[in-house]
Amino acid sequence: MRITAGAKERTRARILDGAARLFREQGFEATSTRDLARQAEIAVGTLFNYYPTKEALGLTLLGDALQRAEAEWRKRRRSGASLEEELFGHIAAGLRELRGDRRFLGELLDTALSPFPSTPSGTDPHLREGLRSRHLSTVNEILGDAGHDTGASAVTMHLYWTLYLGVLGFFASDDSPNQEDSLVFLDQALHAFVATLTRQESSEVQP
Amino acid sequence: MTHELTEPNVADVLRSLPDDLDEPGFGQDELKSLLKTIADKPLPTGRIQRAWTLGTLPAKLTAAYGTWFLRSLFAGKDAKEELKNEAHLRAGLKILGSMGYLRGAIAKVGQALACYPDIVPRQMVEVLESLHFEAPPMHYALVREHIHNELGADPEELFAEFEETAFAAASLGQVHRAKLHDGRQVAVKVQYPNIARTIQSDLANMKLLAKPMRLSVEWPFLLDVIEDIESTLVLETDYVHEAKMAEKVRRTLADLDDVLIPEVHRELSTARVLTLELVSGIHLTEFRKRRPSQEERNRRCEQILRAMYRLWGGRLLSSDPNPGNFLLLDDGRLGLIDFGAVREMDDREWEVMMMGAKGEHLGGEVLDQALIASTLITEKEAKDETRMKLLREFSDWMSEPMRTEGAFDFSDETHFRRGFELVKEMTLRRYNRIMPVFIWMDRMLFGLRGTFYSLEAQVRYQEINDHELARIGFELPGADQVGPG
Repeated sequence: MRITAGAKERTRARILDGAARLFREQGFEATSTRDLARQAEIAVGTLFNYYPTKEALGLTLLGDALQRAEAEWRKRRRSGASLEEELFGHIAAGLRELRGDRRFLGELLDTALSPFPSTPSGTDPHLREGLRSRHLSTVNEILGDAGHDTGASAVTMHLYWTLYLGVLGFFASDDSPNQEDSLVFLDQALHAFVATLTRQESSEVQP
Repeated sequence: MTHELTEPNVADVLRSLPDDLDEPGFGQDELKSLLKTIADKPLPTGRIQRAWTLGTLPAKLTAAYGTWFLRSLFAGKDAKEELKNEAHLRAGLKILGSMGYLRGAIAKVGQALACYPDIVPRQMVEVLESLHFEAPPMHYALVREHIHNELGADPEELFAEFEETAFAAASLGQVHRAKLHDGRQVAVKVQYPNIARTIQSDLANMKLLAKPMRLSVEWPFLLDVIEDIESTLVLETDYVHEAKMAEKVRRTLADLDDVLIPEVHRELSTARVLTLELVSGIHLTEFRKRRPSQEERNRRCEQILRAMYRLWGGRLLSSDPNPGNFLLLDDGRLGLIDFGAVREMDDREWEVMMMGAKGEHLGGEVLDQALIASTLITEKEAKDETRMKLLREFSDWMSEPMRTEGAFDFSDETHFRRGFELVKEMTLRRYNRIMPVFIWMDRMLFGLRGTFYSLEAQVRYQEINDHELARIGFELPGADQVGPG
């Protein structure tokens, strides 16, 4: 029996929906591939045809959420905002989208997203890299719009990415009302980043 | 008439400390070295630094007065306690040094100095009467996200218009002008995220620190005061409380046609966002600069006094006499704009207030009983004639404007000198014990009189006093009646 592309898509959507619910309810670690398959009403083997690992599934969910957030951010983007504000708005839109998934996000950061993954074998480098480069390409776009050097150095981008992961990590375990502490943390992190960037650029133009 | 404060150096800061700091006592060296560290720090430029370090002029002065206040908590002489107390003092200083949001505290001291040029002994102005929180500025992206989190939608959706740049700083945050969908103008006060909780935990730490110490006989009373201050300050961080108080004040002053109390928009308010009807007017400082006529100055001051009396009669007390809370409208009305520091008096506090009013009128034994009740002194302590005499004199000073027929001339310097000398004398003799409500009452009283003094106003104090007391059914046989101050 041939499986149509439409049926394949529906199964994929069912897996993602089910995974989102389970990760939210019982956490990333506590959810087994068996649970995921059962939730999607498919065999474990079939699940692996779609997503080779649980981490891949997690990263896909995260990537989807961040894409939705990015679309939302583009809608809400204001003209005349400063670089710091633009970067703030971009990350904050992501945090807003991920609010219900903080628990799962924290666990994912520990494994699949960590700059030092303890289980590198379980992580799909393409998914990770895709997530990173999509985010950083928007950051580059923001830098360009603000009149900064778009070919920002690898060091600058790594600094940004580290700060970003730090913010996500902070947010994942932030139990303050409405995660207000994360807003402060993000504000201060970006302030430091923009200050560093500006200093770097001004030292480059000086003889 | 105003005094411009310039950036002080370490010596200035140290000089601005109370005299008795130079007396031998423990903790002094630590205090001085901490002050020096703070004062020598370069002026911070970044927002983070500005938020978390003490480096500006207000900060230095805050530190000076703040450490003075802390030190007064450790003034015990018991040698056995000394070591422990020193450790507490050092820890206390560290906490104070990290409380960057108190920078604005001493802007208040600046105001007080401007109100009483040349005559205010600097040491009169305690950190307590000037405590004021200050938050770092927020850019619009942060404001927007914060409002979205608090109210569930972006400002652009919630309001027809929302100015991205704040037009004023507020305690703990900033104020944005906006327009409602029905066209009404509002002021949206946005609190810096997480600052309320930071302050609450700092205050709790301060108290924990203070708790285990047993010093002089004044100690339990001081703890009460600290607790009262703490709860008042914590209330100031809660905009829900402020909204409630604004509505109370609005009801209480409803009959005063020449006073505008902004309406609260509850549906656009939370603990961290407060939307009030916009009040447009000028501040008293601007008013003074325009050199208004004597009549105009008198009228404005009487307007303020009447409003404060009416509040008092409604058992409400504004513990923040900051002249910045008053706005003078073009149409002649007076606007009040800050209600975070308004507190309600409970039955006991009100009872003692009434005893005081009666005592000031009748004098003698009735006055003494009122003074004893409000200062919480024992029968034995009341036998201290010096103490009672000073308390009576202070009460006499407070009620002087109410006993004066016609207008009381607040440009008269001697009146103020006398008040400050009395407070100074009581402080030096450590006769500072007082029911906490009177700390706020006195703070209010000094603030108001300072405003009247700086405007050189002649105020029909007695007339307003009598009228307002009659309104609340306060009756005494005889002619002159007296009230709050």
